[in-house]
Amino acid sequence: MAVTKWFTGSVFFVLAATAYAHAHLTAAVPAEGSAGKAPQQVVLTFSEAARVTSMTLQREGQEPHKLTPLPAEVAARITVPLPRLSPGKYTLSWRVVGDDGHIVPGALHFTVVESAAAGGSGGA
Amino acid sequence: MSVDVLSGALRALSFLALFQAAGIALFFALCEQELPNTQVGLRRVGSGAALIAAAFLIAQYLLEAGRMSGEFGAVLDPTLQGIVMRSAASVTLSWRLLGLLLLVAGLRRRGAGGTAAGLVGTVLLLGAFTLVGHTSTAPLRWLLSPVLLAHLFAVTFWFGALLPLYLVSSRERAETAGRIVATFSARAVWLVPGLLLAGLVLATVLLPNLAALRTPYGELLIVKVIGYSLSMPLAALNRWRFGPALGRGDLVAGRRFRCALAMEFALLATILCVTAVMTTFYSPESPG
Repeated sequence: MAVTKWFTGSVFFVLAATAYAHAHLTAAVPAEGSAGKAPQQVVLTFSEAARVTSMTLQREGQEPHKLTPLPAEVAARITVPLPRLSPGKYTLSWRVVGDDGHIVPGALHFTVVESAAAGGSGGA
Repeated sequence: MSVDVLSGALRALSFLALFQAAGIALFFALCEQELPNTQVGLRRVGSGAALIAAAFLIAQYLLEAGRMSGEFGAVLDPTLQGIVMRSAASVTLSWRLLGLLLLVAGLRRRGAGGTAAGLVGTVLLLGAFTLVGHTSTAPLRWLLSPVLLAHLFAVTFWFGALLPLYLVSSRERAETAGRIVATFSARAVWLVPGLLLAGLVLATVLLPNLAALRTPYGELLIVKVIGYSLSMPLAALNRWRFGPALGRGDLVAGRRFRCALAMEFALLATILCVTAVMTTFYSPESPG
């Protein structure tokens, strides 16, 4: 009988705990597959608050370039400044972690058809 | 090998060891008094499985910083390690290690005290699964958390009993073995279909639509259902044919009983590994 009481009590204790789930991308600027002027920043919107733990930008045919520093805050909308980009195809890859500790990778592809207004050659 | 692959493998191995250890504790709660020849060995196996589970869980936790960056080198990154330490992964690990500690303590002690420690340890271990994951953000979380817990409890009871039943069938007297198999089967006949029912409730609520079955998460879910379906005939054979014959001292039936148990073990172990991969890398609400 005592064992049953312990067991039942423990189950209710467990169920009282708070929990969270995976963060996944709901919107991005530049958008997936978009083409246009070189963006000066990337804005990622997630289904829940998350923290970026890694972000790399890779121009087609070149080595990946780590973007730093990354924002330290936990937010559903994350903005990361980009270096000057020259025309070409780019892949932005990231990993975010939600409050639950789950690590969610993601990637975004976009094309720069002309450099930003200031001009100049790409930093990535 | 990538940091993701190694982390997934460690998680899968930790699942096997964790459910085995907890399952032995539940098996003792069911029939500890009737195991004159297997009790000592099972206590050692259960304690060993708990310690192995702890080692895998800690190793996987230490790799989390690497996974956050996608590189092994980031394991030593103090910023990322700080994020890991402040995350739910730390709370989950604490619950699991405490649960495993209680399991080992329970398995070292006979009687009601040992049984209670084993059960509380099992609750902590399984409860840790409700601290993270997909069930928690669904609007019906009040329903999904207990359903997930019931699902995990049934898995633990079923998977964790296969090895003890294998040993019981070969080391205990025929009538004792037959009685234990009957006792186990009387519970399993409700718990095993309950496992499927709980799994269906979880899938129905978590999957956004039928098309989600074509995502990696959905495909792995289908693999789990196939594995479950394949194990049912084996469980039925043992429940209604080999188990009763084993109790009558039929040696051939005893060998077939153990063969079916070994196949069930392989199937359920595969399902656990698939679950580890599915819940580490994929999510039901987002594509691949």
